[in-house]
Amino acid sequence: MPTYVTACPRNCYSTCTMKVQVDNGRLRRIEAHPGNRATPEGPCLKGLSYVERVHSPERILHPLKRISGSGGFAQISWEEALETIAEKLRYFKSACGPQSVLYYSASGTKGLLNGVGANFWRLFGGYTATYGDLCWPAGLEATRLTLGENKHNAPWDLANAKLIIQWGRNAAETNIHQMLFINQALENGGKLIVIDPRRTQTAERAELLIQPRPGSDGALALALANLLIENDAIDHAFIERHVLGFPEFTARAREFSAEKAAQITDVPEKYIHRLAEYLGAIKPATINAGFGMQRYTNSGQALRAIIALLAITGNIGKPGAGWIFANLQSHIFDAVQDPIAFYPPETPDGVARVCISISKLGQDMLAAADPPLKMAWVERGNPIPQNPETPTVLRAFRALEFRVVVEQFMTDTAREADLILPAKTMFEQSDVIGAYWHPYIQLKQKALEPPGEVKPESEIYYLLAQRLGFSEAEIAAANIPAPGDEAVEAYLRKKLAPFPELTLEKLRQGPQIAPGHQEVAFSDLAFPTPSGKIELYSQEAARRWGVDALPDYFEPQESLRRESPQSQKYPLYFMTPNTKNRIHSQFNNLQMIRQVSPAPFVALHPEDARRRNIAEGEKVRIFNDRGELRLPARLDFGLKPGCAAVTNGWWISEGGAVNLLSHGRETDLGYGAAFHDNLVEVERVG
Amino acid sequence: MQHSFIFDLNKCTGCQACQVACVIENELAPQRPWREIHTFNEARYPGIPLFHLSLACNHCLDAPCMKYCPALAYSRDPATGAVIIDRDSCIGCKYCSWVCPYDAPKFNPAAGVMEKCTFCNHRLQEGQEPACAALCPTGALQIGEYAESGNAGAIAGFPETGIRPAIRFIPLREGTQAPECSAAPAGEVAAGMLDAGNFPPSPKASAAKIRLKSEWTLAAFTLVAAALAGMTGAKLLSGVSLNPIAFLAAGMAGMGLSTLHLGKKFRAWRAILNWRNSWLSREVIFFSVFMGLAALYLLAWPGSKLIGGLAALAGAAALFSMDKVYRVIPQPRPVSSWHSASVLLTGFCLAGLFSGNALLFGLAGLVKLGLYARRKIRFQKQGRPARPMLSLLRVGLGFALPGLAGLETAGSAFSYVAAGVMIGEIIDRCEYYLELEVVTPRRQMGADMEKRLGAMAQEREAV
Repeated sequence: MPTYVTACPRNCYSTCTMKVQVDNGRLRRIEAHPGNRATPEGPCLKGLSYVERVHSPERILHPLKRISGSGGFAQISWEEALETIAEKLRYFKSACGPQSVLYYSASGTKGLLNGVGANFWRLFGGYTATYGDLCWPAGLEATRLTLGENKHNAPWDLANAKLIIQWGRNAAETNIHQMLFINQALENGGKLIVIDPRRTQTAERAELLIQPRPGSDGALALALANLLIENDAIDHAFIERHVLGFPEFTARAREFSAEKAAQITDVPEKYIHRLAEYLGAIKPATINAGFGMQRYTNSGQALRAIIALLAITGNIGKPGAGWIFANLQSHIFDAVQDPIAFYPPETPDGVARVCISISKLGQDMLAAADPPLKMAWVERGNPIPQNPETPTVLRAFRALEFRVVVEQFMTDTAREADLILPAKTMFEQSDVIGAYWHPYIQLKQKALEPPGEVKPESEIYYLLAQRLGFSEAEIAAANIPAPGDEAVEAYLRKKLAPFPELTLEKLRQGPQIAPGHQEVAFSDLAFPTPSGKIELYSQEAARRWGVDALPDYFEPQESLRRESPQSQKYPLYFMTPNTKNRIHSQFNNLQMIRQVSPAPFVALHPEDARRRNIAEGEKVRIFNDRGELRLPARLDFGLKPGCAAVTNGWWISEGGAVNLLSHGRETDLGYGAAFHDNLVEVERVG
Repeated sequence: MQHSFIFDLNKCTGCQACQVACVIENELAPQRPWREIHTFNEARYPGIPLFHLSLACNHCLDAPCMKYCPALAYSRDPATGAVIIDRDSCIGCKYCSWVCPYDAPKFNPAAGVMEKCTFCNHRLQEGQEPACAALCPTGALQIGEYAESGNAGAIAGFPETGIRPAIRFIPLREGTQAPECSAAPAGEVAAGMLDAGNFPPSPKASAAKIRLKSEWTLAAFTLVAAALAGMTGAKLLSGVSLNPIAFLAAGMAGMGLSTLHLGKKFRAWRAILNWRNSWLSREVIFFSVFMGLAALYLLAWPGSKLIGGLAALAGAAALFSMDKVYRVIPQPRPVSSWHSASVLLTGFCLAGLFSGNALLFGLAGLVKLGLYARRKIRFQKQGRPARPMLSLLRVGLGFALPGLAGLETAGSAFSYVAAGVMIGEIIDRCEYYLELEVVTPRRQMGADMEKRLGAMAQEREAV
C-alpha cells in the first residue's frame, strides 16, 4: 500500500505529522510519524477521522446552485458555475466597483497556497477584506508589546519545568500532545497548577485548580505580582538588565492587594498567597496561557500583567521557563508576522479595502458604504455560526445579492450560498505549512486525486481568471498556478527558494525544523521591542490602542460587577470553550466523531441548577437579548458556580451554535473578537 | 508470547483516539466500537479524581467467553495470546457477552455473529502494536508481555473476577490524584450537595445487558422445559396421563423458541459442541435426550418405570444445566447463588403439583418461598425495585392459593390452582430476567463511585 508523509493543516496547536496509507484510491489508515518530536505518538481522534471525512457520502463533490424559492440545491456543471460567477463579477465590478465584493477567508486549512486567493482578487481589480482575527490577537499583541516577538521554547522543553501554570488553557482537549510533556514534568517532580473556571481534563492531574470569575485574570496577575514584589521573591539582577518600567509596574501592582483581588476574582485569598509562594520559590516556571481567556474586552492588558510575572521572576530565556502563548518561529514565509499582518494597513493601497472588523463581521458588512457590499466569496470558513453575533452575520449575508461558498460539507454558511463550489481536502493537493506551537515546517502532501468534480481553490481561481479574460501571462504574473501538480510544486519551490535547507524532497520525508529556530526562546536575551528590553511599560500600547502604558485591570464590558441592566437580567457567565471533538465547526458531522460527541448540552453547577429548578438532563433555555439556545442541562460539580458552558463549534442545524448569544466587539488589544464577554440567563423549558 | 495491555491512568486524558483507531483498523461501524472509554467521576465531585479506563477485550488467560462458548467459536492464538472469535463458527447466541465482565464481545446484527477486539492479531503477527496502542497520542495505552502479578491493587471501575485479564495498570501517582479546587475545596462541599436528590445519574447509565424484552423466548423455553420435566416426574410418581402429542409439540415449540434469539439459526446444532465445559451445550444435550426419552416413555413404553425414570433424570439434568447457565454469569450484586426462579426447583414443584404429592410440592414451594422472601427483603434494603404488588400476586397465586385450596381438589377447581401456580412461576421467572445483572466496567464504575461518595458522606457526618 503506498504510504505518504503528510501533516494536518487545521488551525490547531499540534499540527501533527502523520503517515497515511492509500489502498486503491481510498485512505485506508493513518499512522504516527515519530519524526515530529512534538507529536510522536500520532494525531488525535479528529486526525484519525480523516479516513471517514475524505470519503464521506456527505461531501460536496459538484458545483451546486441554489434552487430559487426553496432551500434546495441543484448540481450544475463547472462551465455553468464559472460563467455565472464571472458574469456577476463583471456586473458588480462595473456597476459598483470591485470593492463591492467581500473576500472572506478563515482558518479552515493552513497553507502557502491560500495566498492565491488574494492574488486573484488583486488581479480582478480589488476587493473588500477583513482585519483582525477571531482567535488570538490580544495575546499576540500583549506578547509582542512586552517581549517583542511571539515565540516560545520548543514543546518538549516543558518536561524541564518545575512549575507549570496552565492559565485558561485546556491542553488535554486543545493540544493533547502537550500532555505528554506535562506528564514528564510531573514525573520529574514538577508541579502543575491550572487556572480555569472549569475543572477541565487538564486540571485532573494538577495540584491546584484556581477558579477565577471569567474575565478577572488581570486582577489575579497583578495581585500575584504585588505579593512577589512585597515578599522580595523577584530576580533583581534580571529586572535590572532586561526589564523596562519595573518601578512604574510596582506602583500599579501595589493597587492590587490579595484582599482586593480576592474580591474581584472570587478566588479565596489563601490560594492567591499559595500561588505567589510557588511562583516565587519554584524555578524554572512556565506559564502557558490559552486563547479562550484572551477573548474578553480586557484581556490584552491582563496578558501583559501575566507575562510580567515571568519577567520579574527571571523566568525568561531559560530551559523549562518562559511564556507559552504562540510560537511563530516556523512562520518564515510571512513578509509581516502576526499580529501586525492582520491589522488594517496604515496607508491603503486602493486595491484591497480592509474595512471589515472580523469581530464585527455582521455589523461592518451591513455598514459598508461607497461601495456597499453586493457579493461575498467565502472559503475555508463557516462565518455564520463561528463569528460573533450569528443573527447579525446571517442578516448581513442575506442582505447581499450574490454569495459563493467553497466548501466540503453543507455547513450553515454553505446553506446560505447561491453557489457552492466543492472544496478539496488536505489529501488532494500538496501545500507547505508552518505551526504555532512546534517549530516544524511540513509538507501537507497530496495522497489522493480529488473525488467527483472537486477542484482545488488555486485551480478555481485560475479558471475564473481565464473566464474573466485575463491572459496566461497576466495570470502567471499574478502568481496563480495553472491546474495540475506541476505548477503547484513550482509555486511551492519558489516559496522555499530563500531557504536552501528546505526542499520539497526533504519535506516529503518528514517535518523539518524551521531555519533559525531557537530551542529556548529568548535565550540570547534579545527582545525586539523599541527599548530592547522586556517592556512592562509600553508607550506603543498606549499610542496604538489607547490603553494604559502599564498592564491594567478593568472590568470586561459584560460583567456582573458593572452596574447595568444587562448584568441584572443575565447573571451567568457564558463560557464557550473548545472541545477535543472539533476544530471550531469542523468534524462533528462525521459518524466517528458523532459517536463520541452526539449532541450539545449546557454544563451548569448543581447549585445554579437547583436554584432554577433544573435537574440533570432537563431541557433548558440559555438566553440573552441577542438570542437563545435550547439544550439539555448537564450538572457539573467542577464548574465554578455562576457559569454556564457550551462547547463551541456546533452548527445552527445541530441546535448548539453558541454565537447566537455573543456580541460582536473587539478586544482591548489586537483587533481580536471579545466574544467571551457574554452574560446569559438559563431557565427550565416548560 | 502472551501479550498484555499496559495502561497508565496518569497519561490517559480520555481523548478517544484509541476508539477511533480501532474503528478504522477493523473497519467497524462507528456506532459499535470494540474499544470504549469509561470515565470515573464524570460529574466531577470535588475531592474525587476523574480518570478514564480505555477498555476492549482483555484476552484473559482464563477467558470465560472461550470457556463457556457452546459452539467452540473461540480460540487463542498461541503465538500472540489473542483470544479470537471465528465468525464462521459463532452461532450468535450472545452468551459470551453475558459471561464477560468487560463487555468485550458485541453482537453484530448485520452479520448475526459476535465480534470483539482481536488484539489486532494481524498486526501483532507482523510485529506491530495494535492500532489503539500505536495511535494513543499520549502513550497511555501500550502493550507488553503478560505478567502474572501485574496489578498491585484494585482499580476503581475495573471488574476483577479472577479470570486473569491481560491488562496491567499504572495507577494514579500519589499527590496528583484530584486537584484542590478553589471554588469547591474538598470537604467544604455545600451541605446537601452530595445528598441523594442532587446525584446526577451517570449520563451513560446504559440499559441492562440482559432484558426480558429481548430474552422472553428464553424465559418461555426454560418454563416450558420445567413444566414438561415436572409432568414427566408426575407421571412417574402417580401415573397421571399425559397427551403425548401436546407434550412433544410443547417441547419442540420451546426448543424452537430458544433458537429464535440466535443470530445464526441454521448453525443452532453447533450449540452442543462444547459439552466438556459449557452448561449451555449441556442444557441443549440434556434437553434433547429428555425429549427423546420422554417420547419413548409416552409413545412406546408408557408403563416403563425405567424409561420414565431415565427421562425424568434427563429432564432434571437439563433443568440443572439451565440454572447453571445463568449461575456462572458474574453478578455485580449477588443475593444468593440459588434463586427462587430456579427451573430445577420449578420442575420439582410442578412434579408435586401435577402428581398431587403435597410433600414434594410443599418442600420445593417452601424453598422457593424462602428464597423469594429473602430476595425481596434484600432488594428493599438495597433500594432496588421490590415490586410489592407483583410479589403479592406471585405469593398469592403461587403459594397461598394451593396452600389453602390444597392439591386434592378435583376437576375444574384443580385447574384453577394449577393455573395460579403457573402464573406465579411465570411472574418469578420474568422477574428473574428483569433483575439479572451482568458485571460490566460501566456498572463497576457506578458502584465504586457510590462507595467513594458514601465514604465521603460518612466522613462528613463524623466531622
